[in-house]
Formats: sequence, C-alpha cells, structure tokens
Amino acid sequence: MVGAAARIDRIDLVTGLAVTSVGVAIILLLPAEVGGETIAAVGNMTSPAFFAALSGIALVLLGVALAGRSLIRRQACTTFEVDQPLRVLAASGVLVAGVAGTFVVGLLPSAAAIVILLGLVFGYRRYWLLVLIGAVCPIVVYVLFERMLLVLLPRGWF
Amino acid sequence: MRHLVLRLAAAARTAVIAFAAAGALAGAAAAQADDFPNKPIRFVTPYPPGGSHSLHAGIITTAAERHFGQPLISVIRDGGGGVVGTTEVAQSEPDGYTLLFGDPTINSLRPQVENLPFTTDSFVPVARINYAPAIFVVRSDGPFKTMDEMIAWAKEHPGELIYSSDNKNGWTYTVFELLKARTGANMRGVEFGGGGPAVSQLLGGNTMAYAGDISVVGEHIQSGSLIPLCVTDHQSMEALPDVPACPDIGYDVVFQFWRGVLAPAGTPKEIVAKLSDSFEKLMADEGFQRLIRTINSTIAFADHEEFARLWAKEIEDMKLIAQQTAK
Amino acid sequence: MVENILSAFALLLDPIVFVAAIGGLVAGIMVGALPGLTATMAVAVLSPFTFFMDTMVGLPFLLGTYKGAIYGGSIPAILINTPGTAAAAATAADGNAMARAGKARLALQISLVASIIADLLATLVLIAVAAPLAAIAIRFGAPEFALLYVIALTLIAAVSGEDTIKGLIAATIGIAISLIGLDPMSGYQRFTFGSVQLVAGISLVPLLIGMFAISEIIVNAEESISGRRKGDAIDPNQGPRLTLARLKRLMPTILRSTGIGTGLGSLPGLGAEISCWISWGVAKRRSKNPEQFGRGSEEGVAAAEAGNNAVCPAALIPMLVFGIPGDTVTAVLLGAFMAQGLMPGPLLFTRDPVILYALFAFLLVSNVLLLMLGFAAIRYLQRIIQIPNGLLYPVVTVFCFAGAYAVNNNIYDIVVMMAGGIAGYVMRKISMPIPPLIIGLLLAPGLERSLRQSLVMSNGSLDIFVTRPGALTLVVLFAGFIAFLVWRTVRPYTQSTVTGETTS
Repeated sequence: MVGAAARIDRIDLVTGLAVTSVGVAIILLLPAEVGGETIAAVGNMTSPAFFAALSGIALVLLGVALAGRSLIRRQACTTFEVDQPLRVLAASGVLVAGVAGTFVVGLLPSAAAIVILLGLVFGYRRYWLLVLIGAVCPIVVYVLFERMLLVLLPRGWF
Repeated sequence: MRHLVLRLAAAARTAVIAFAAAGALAGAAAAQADDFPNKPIRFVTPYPPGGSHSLHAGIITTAAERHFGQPLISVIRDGGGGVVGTTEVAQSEPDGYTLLFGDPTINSLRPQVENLPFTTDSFVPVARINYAPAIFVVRSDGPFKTMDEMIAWAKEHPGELIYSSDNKNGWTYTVFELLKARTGANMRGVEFGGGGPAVSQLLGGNTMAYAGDISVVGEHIQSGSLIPLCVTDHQSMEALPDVPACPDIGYDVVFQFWRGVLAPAGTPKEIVAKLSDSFEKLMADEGFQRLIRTINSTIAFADHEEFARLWAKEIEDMKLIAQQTAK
Repeated sequence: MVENILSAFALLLDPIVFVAAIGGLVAGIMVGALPGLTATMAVAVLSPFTFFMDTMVGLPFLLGTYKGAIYGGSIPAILINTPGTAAAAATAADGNAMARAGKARLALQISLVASIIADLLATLVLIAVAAPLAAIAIRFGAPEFALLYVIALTLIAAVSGEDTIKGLIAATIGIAISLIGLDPMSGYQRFTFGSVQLVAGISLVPLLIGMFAISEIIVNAEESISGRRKGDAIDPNQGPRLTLARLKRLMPTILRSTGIGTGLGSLPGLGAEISCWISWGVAKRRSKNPEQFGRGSEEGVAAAEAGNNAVCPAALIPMLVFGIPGDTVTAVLLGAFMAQGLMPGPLLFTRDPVILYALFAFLLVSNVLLLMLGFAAIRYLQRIIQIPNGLLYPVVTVFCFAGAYAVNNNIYDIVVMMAGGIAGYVMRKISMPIPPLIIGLLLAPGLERSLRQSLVMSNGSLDIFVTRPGALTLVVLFAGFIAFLVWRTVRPYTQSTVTGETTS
C-alpha cells in the first residue's frame, strides 16, 4: 500500500512540552472549573481542588523534566514512528465515522459499515465474505443485546 | 352580499379545518393512548446497580410484562449521585416510553437546594410503589442506647459524635441535619456514599451512629449488633413494633423515603393513567408480592392522582426543611 | 453439623444444578472472552432473570457466570492483546508477548491453572475463616483505606517500566481524569465544562476498552500488510506446555498473588481490576527476572491471573458475613441472594446453613468444571486464531462499541471509548506506559475519598493516621518499605565506594 513511514525524532521533547501545557491549563482552569478554588488549594487537603491542583503542578514539573531530559540526552531518545500513516488514518477515520454513525443512524447500521470498511482497511480481499459478515454481525449483536440481555441499543435520530 | 357569503364560507371552511385538525390531534392522542404501549418501556434507575433501588427496579421489571403488554426494560443510568439518569429522563420524549424510578432526595429536595439541570416541575407522578422511614441506629456496645442518651452525650462532647452519612443532601444527611436542627446538638457526619459503606464503618467502630433503610440495617438489628433508636415516621413500623416513632419521643424528625415512578412533564394524561393502572395491577401480582416480601420490603401503592397530591405536599415540606438545614 | 454438610451435598447432586453451573460458566467465559462485554455487565444484566428461578439454579448460574467471565477475559488478552475484561488487563502484556514468541499454549495453560488454584484457595479461606476475616476487615476505617491506597500507588514505580518519568506522567494523567465529574462529598462539579455528560465523570470500562482494545486494533491496522502474519506466530496447539516442574516453579508467585487477591478482595471497595495490577507489581518486585515482566514473563501471567481470580470468592466474604457489598458485582450478587430469600448478614450462617454449605460446595466444585471447560476452550481456540485479521478485528470492534454502550446505557461512553483508543495508540507510539494511567484512574477516587473522610473524622488533624493501631501499622510498614527501596538504590554506590571503584 502507499504511504511512506512518518517519523518524528526526539518526540519526548514534544511530549514534555505537551504535558507541561496540560498542567498549566489545569492550574489556570482551577478557579473556573472547581468552583472558585485556586492553586492555593494545594495546602488544604480537604478542598475538592486539592488533587486537581496537585496534578496540575505535578504535570508541569514532570513535563519540564521530560523535555529537559530529552534536550540534554542527545542519544537514545524515543522516536515516534508510524509505518503506514495512511492506513492508521483510514482505520481511525472509520472508527470515528462509526461513532458518529451510532449517534445518527444507530448502532446496528453503523456496525455493518464498520465491519465492511475496516475489513477493507485491513486489506482483506474476499469482499463477498466481508459483506456477508457485515450483514450477519449486526444481527448477532441485535439478538444478543436486545433480545437476550435486554439492552436497548442506540437507534439514531430517526 | 356576495362578499359576505364568501367571507362566511371562508370562515366556515377554516373552522371546519380547525375542528378537523383538533379532532385528529385528539384522536391521535387517544390513538396513542389506545395502542400504548406498542414497544418496550425504559424504566430508568438513576443509581448504581446493586443498591436497594436497583433491586426494586429489577423485581418490578421482571414481573411487569404481563400487566403492561410490553416488557419493562430496566436501564441503570447512574452518575452524579442520581443527577445524570434523572436529567436524561427529564429531557426525553414525554411519550410514556421512558420512566424514572425516583425518590424524594433526587425529585423533591435536591432540585430545590442545588443547581440541577431539572426542577420539581420536570416530572409528573405516575405511581408510588412504597415508602419507608429511616431508622436511627447505634452500636450495641456504644456509650448510648436511646435517643435521649445520644443527644445528651453529643451535648456533653460537642463535635465528637461522628455519624455515618451518605451524600450531601442525601437521605441520611438530611435526617441528621433535621435532628441537629431540632436539638441543637453538635455532631459531625462523614459522607461514605451509600448505605453499605456507611453501615460497615459503623459496625467497625469507626463511627457512632447512622440512619437508614431497614434493608440495610434490619439484619444487624435482629442479630443485636445495632440498636434502633427511633423511626422517622408518624408511627412505628410494622416490622419493628417496639421501636418508637421519633415524634412520639420528642424528636420531630419525619422523612419518608418513597420509591415511585415518574414520567417527564408533558406526558399525556391518558398515558399516565394507563401506566398507573398497570402498576396497580402489578402490585397485586402474587409473584411480585412474594419477591418484595423476600427482600424485606413493603408495598404502599398510590396511584397517579394520590401520588400527585402527596408529592405536591412533600415539595412544600421540603422547602421548609431546606430552609432549616441550609448551610 | 455433619448432617448439614450431607444435606448440602444432596442439594448439589441434582443434575439441574450442574446444568445451571455449566451454563453459567460457558456464558461467563464467552462474555469474558468478548472484548467489550464485561463480567459486571453480564452479572448485572442476568441477575434479575434469576429472581424467579430456584435458588440452586439461579445462584450457581450467576456465580458461574462471574467466575467464567473473570477467567475468560484472559483468553483474548493472550491471543490478541485485547483484554476481554478489565481484570485481564495485566495479563495482556506478558501473555501476548509469550504468544508471539510461540508459547501461546503455555500462556493459556498458566492462566487457567493459576486462576483455578487461586480460586480454590480463596474459596477455602471463605469457607474456613470468613467470619474472623470479616471481623478484621470491618475494622478497616477510612484512614487505613487511605494508607492502603497510598501503598498501592507506590507500586506505580514497579509498573512504570524503564521510564519512571513517563510512568509518573501517565499516573498523574490517570488521576486527573478520575477527578472529572460531580464530587459527591462536597457537591462541587469539577472540570465538567458545563456538560451534563461529564457530570458523571469518565467511565472506567469504556476508557479501558478503548485504550486496550481499540488502540490494539489501530496498531494492527498498521502492521497488517507489513509482512507480519499473525497466523503463523500464534498457535495454541504448538509450543511448550505446562509441566509439573514449571508449575512448581511458579507456585510461590501464585500463592503470593492469591494472598494479595484474597486480602484485597475481602476489603470492600477493591476489586479484581486493581488486584491484578497489584499482584503483578508485587510479583515483579519479588522476581529474580523483573526485566522480563511486560515482555513475556510466565510469572507475570501467573501473578495477574491468580490475583484477579482470588478476588471472586474473597469478595463474597464481606458480602455474606455483613451483607455489605465490596464492588458492583457483589452488590448485584447481594441483590440476587436477597431475592432468593437468603439474607446475607450475621444471621445467614445460623438461619440457612444448608443452602449456604451447598453454595460453598458449589464454589469448590465449579473450579473443577472450569478447569475442564478451560482446557476444552484452549483446544478449540485455534479456530479463532485462524480467522484472518481483516475479519476478526472489525467484528471485535463492533462488540467493543456495543459493549462500551451497554455498560451504562450511555451513548457518550462510545465517544469515551474512541478517545481512549486514540490516546492509547498515541501513548504506545511515544512509549508512554498505559498501566500507570489505569492504576491512577482506579485508585485516585478511593484515595481522595478516604483521605477526606479521615480528615473529617479527625477534625482536620493528621494524627489520626498514627493514633489508630491499624493505620499506625500500615504507616510503619510503608515507611519500612520506602526505606528498603532507598537502601537498595543507594547500596551499589556505597559498595563501590568501599571497594574503591567508581561506577557511572
């Protein structure tokens, strides 16, 4: 299939920076999201914001440490490598579409679509079998969940 | 003259169409009510599985199909202490196919004291299944064995009496707040989230008192490890005839925990009535009654009109309680 | 007493009991083996059906389902690196690595035998010492729980793999995620951003399904054509099998993990999902080959499986003795017991001894049944492996979708699952370990809760942790453990100074 591998060297630097920003975001969001508490909550163990503030600070420190370590240590850093980026995107795309489909048309039709499309992404060649399973799978799921376990599956907006 | 005739004809035509439309709508509503239910009904419990609430829901839904014509499907939607499931039902289609298995804390008290996504007006009552008072209990090897003794002890040791509580504005929480408001005693509650952990902490000696449902404390009362002090009702319970009602011994704490079925506001009255009738028939079902007895619970049915009256009164009472226990 | 035991066995010999038991075990194994369907969900959904069944039919069925599901989750964990239940998450890394190295049969057999041994021993504990053990467990107050959670969190260091910083980051993220939602103790909403859906928080099971199963599917989409064919690497009918000698070598690990699982299971609030990780972490600490853990260690598989299966009988201890459920599954089982007229609690043993003994006997016997079924399952599993990736993974995906929804009847849980899937994939690519995140997510709520409860009880002072005997013991143990760790890290440096060499 097409698609050269994608690489990012020294991904730890990116990860470290990302983690740090998440930590900062948590700290900044504390007043808005935890009912008015601030980072000072770290001193008060009974406050609902205690662990949140702690996490925010920890993430900032750890993120800096990670980024710093990746800058200092030149060798043997983690590389972010994706062999088949198109495939990965295709698979993720099918899954996300499946989620959206569950909301819009319900779980069972989306299930059929997922089976067929994901099978294609995996490179499966026997198309007729794929379509067959795509038709049978939702039926099995329906029988198992709705008839036997009495769990009503999402029906979609219509 | 012709003009007038034409105008009259137009008016008449409009009137006919309007009547026809109204008739059709009424007919549709009636038709809806006529063939209701024609698909399964979702019976939503807003609390985690395994509690006495979901246990009752399980019994109701297992025995219900015969009396409703369609299966009642038990849906457990817990989260946020009951808020998530209740909100979902409040926002669902008022067509009678989604029902809430509610109780006074989530339906009467908390909407008035907290900022929730629904209000007491978001629901119409369908049927009440049962109700029970809370039972104040203490350990049998503790320093007090009656309510008077407990309050006296609390006053002698302010802030030292620690009791097991459930959640903020939950049943146990409110009952104790009422007690504290009435007696002026200074006691501290630790929120454990539910009856199970609350009782286990009491039994283990980590707290000194609790108030809860008979299904949670009954066994321990019978075995002697817990002593009941009084029940939060106007009269004693049938199952515990020796335990006085709190008002009778001088403590005006009354809070009945009912379990009832509610539908989203806007559900047509005919459908509500139909559901109410079906529940009434379910209450008379032998298998259902046997199961309810087996789990040591009771049936105290109230149909939709009676329940509506009782609930409206309770909402008023809750307003007063909320003011008194407001922190 | 003897005639009670005899009548108990008489009850058990009714063939319909065996039918119910086997039916439950088979149903449980199938549910457990399907990623997306969990033991809890199966038990919760099937429980109301048992209300109208006979006691010795409904309860064996339900208990069989639970046991079968906890075991069944390890099957896909080993074969396709996708745990079938949350409790099998710790088995996946080692189990699948073994499978890829051609040792699938061995891994499956270790998993089965370790599970059975753990279950048997824990059941014996349940039968013999339920009451005294429960009496101790009940004295565990909030401070003791808080300390237990802290000790468990330090095990994150053990499961972080080589990179401690990334492990700690993952754990902190897990803790942060667990905070989202309505905090019942204070009534505050935290990080809900005004969305009603977030008020309930991030559900654990859909996130787990996403991070383990969906991420695995995406990873496999990548590898599918690049030459690596699953079929010839993993064949459960080839490769080394479990010999007695091997088993003897693994026994210490199994026994230790059983102890951990039994202890944790009998404490209300800690379930199989946590116990599997803690057993695994402790086993790694005590192992002579810790670097093998996560890469195909037999001890790892044994520890994880023993740890999670020991929880089933142990969780019944507080449930039966006090009527107090430890986790969701026991809460549902409690309800099923009550609906049968068996009132768990202090009077159960005196009021219904015959039924109780019959159930105990059933719990023991069911292990034998599970052993037979397990071996049969392993024999037929080769069929599953021969299914090509392109068919297998899409179908597994569909079940993950349905299962994630079914946990809480919440369509937004599917979104959580998807987010978890993408996050899990990214984490695997940047070498950030996933287990610490799970541990943080599982333990943080309990830690926060018991910490706050302790502080309320002590009116804000911290000395409640040293004035209570139980808490004090745990603090001493913990301090000793930390001191030991520090000494072990520092020792190489002191030794080399003594001998005059320097190590870099």
